[in-house]
Amino acid sequence: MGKWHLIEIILELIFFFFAGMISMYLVRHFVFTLTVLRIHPSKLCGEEISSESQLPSVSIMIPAHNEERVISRTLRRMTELEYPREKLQIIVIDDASTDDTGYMMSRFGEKDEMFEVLHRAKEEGGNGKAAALNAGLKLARNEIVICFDADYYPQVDIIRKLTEPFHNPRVGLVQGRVTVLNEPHNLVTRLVALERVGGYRVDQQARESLQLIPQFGGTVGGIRRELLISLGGWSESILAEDTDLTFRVALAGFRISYVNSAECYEESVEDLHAYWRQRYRWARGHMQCAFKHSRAVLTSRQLTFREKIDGILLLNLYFMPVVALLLWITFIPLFLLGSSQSSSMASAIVPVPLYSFVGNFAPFFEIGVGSYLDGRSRAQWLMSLLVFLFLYNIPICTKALIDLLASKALRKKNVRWDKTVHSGNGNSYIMN
Amino acid sequence: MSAREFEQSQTVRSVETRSGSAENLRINLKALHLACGFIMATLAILLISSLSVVAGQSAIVLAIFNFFFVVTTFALEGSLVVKSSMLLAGNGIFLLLNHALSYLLSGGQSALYASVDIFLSSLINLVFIVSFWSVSLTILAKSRKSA
Repeated sequence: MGKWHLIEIILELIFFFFAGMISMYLVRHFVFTLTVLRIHPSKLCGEEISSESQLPSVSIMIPAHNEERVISRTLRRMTELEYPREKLQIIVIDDASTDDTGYMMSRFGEKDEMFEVLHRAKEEGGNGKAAALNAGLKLARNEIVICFDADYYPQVDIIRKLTEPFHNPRVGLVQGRVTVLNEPHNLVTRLVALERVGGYRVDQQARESLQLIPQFGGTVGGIRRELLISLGGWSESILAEDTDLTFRVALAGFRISYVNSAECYEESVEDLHAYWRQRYRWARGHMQCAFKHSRAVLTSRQLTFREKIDGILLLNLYFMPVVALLLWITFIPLFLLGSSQSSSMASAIVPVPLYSFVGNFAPFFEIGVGSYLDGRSRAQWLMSLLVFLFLYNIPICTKALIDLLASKALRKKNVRWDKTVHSGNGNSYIMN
Repeated sequence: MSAREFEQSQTVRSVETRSGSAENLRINLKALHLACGFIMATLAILLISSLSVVAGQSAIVLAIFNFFFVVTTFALEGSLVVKSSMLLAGNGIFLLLNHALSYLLSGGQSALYASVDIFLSSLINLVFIVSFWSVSLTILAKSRKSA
C-alpha cells in the first residue's frame, strides 16, 4: 500500500465522518418537521384550565443596558398585561445605562407601584445579562420568575399562557415563542424572521411534542424561583446563560415545556454587523455549554435515552458550520488525489450541509413547513437566500471556536458581553 | 342527573363526536394525499429512469427531490391538484435543467471539466430543490387562501 493511498483512505474516513455528523442533524430536523406536520393546529392553542385563584404569583424581570429607544414601549406593555395585579411584581433592572434608560424606568416606578426599579452603578453593572438578572433575582419574591428582554413586546395574556404548564410539578422551566416585530424592515430582518419560524414553530414545538428538551431562550420564559435559587441563579461566566440554565434544569430532573401560543415580538438585528455580534455571542456561549454539559448529559440518570441524544445534538449545534467547512476542506485533497469513491459521492454529499443548515441551522424544509403552518404565503420566496446566512455563520462559528479554545488555553475566565443594539424601529409597527 | 344536565352532556358529546370525526377525516385526507404523492413520484422516477435521460448522481438527486417534496408538501393542507401539478412540473424542470447542464459540460474530459461538473451540478441541484420547493409552497399557500 503506497503512502498516498494511505493518506487517501484516512482523508476519506475523515470526510465520511464529517458528512455523517451533518447527516445526523438532517435526519433530526426531518423527524422534527414530520412531527409538527402530524400535530393538529388546535392543539397548539394552549388549554387554559386555571381559575384566577389557581394562578401562581409571578415576578417579571426586565434587564436593560442603554435601551432608551425601546424600554418605554416594553414597560407600557407590562401595564396592559391581563393578569391579577396583586400576583404580579415587575422588576426592571437598569444595568449601568449611560443613556436615559434609568430615568425612563424611574418614571414608570413612580407612577405604578407594581414596578420595582433596580439601578446598578457603573462599578457593579454592565457585565452582561446574567449578572443583571442575578441582581434582580434578589428582589424577586413570587413563585415564578419570567424574563423579558428590553425590546420585547408580549401578548397581553402571555403570563397566563406561560404559567399554565407549571401546574405540573415536574415542569421547572417554560419557554414561549419569539416572533420578529420589524420583519418588513429589510432583507436581514426578513431572513431572521424565517429563521425564527423554523426554530420555534417547528424545532421547539417538535421537542415539546416528542418530550425532548425544548431550549430556554433566556427571554419569554419562566422558571420556578425556588429552583433557580437552588441552582445558583444564572451563570455569569457563560455567554449563553439561557442554554446553560436549560441543561442545569434538565439535569436536575425537571421538565422544560414549550408553549407555542405564548407569543412575544422582538426587535431583530437589522444589519449583518449586528447579526455577526449577536450570533458570535450565541455560538461561543453554546460551545461553552457543550464543553460544560456534554459529559453530564451522556451520564445523567435523569434523562431518557432520546433526551440524551437530542441534548448532545443541541449542545453541539454551533460546531456544525465548522464541521461543514472542514468537510469541504477535506474534499479538496481527496479530489486532487483522484479518489473515485469520494468524488462520485461528493456531488450527493457536498450539498448536504447546505440542505441541512440553510438559516439558523434549520433545513429549508423545516423553515418552509413552519411558515406555511403559520399561514404565510409570501415569505417562502426568500428561503433560497437563507443559504447566505449559513455561509455567513461559517466564519462566525469558526472564530467563536478559535477564540474559545484560545481563552481556554490561556485560562482566561472573563468573557466580554457584546450587547445587541436596538434601533427602536419596531415601534412604528406597533403604532400602526 | 337533571334534564338540563343531561341535555348539556348530550350537546358536549355531540360536539366531541363531530370534532372527532372531523379530525379522522383530516387524517384520512392527509393519508390519501400522501399515498397519491408517493404513487406519482414513483411513476415519475420510473418513467424518467426508463428513458435513460438521467443517470448517476442526477438520478439520486431526483429521487431525493421527489421524496422530500411528497413528504413535506403532500402532508400540508391544500389542493391535491396544485400539489400534483407542482410535483410533475418539478420533475419536468429538473429533466430540462439536467439536459441543459449535460449538454453544456459535454465538451471536455479534463480535470477542470470534472471539477466544474461536480461542483456546478451540486450547486444547481441544491438551488433547484430549495427554490422550486419554496415557490411550490407559495403557490399552495396562495391557492389555499383564495379557496
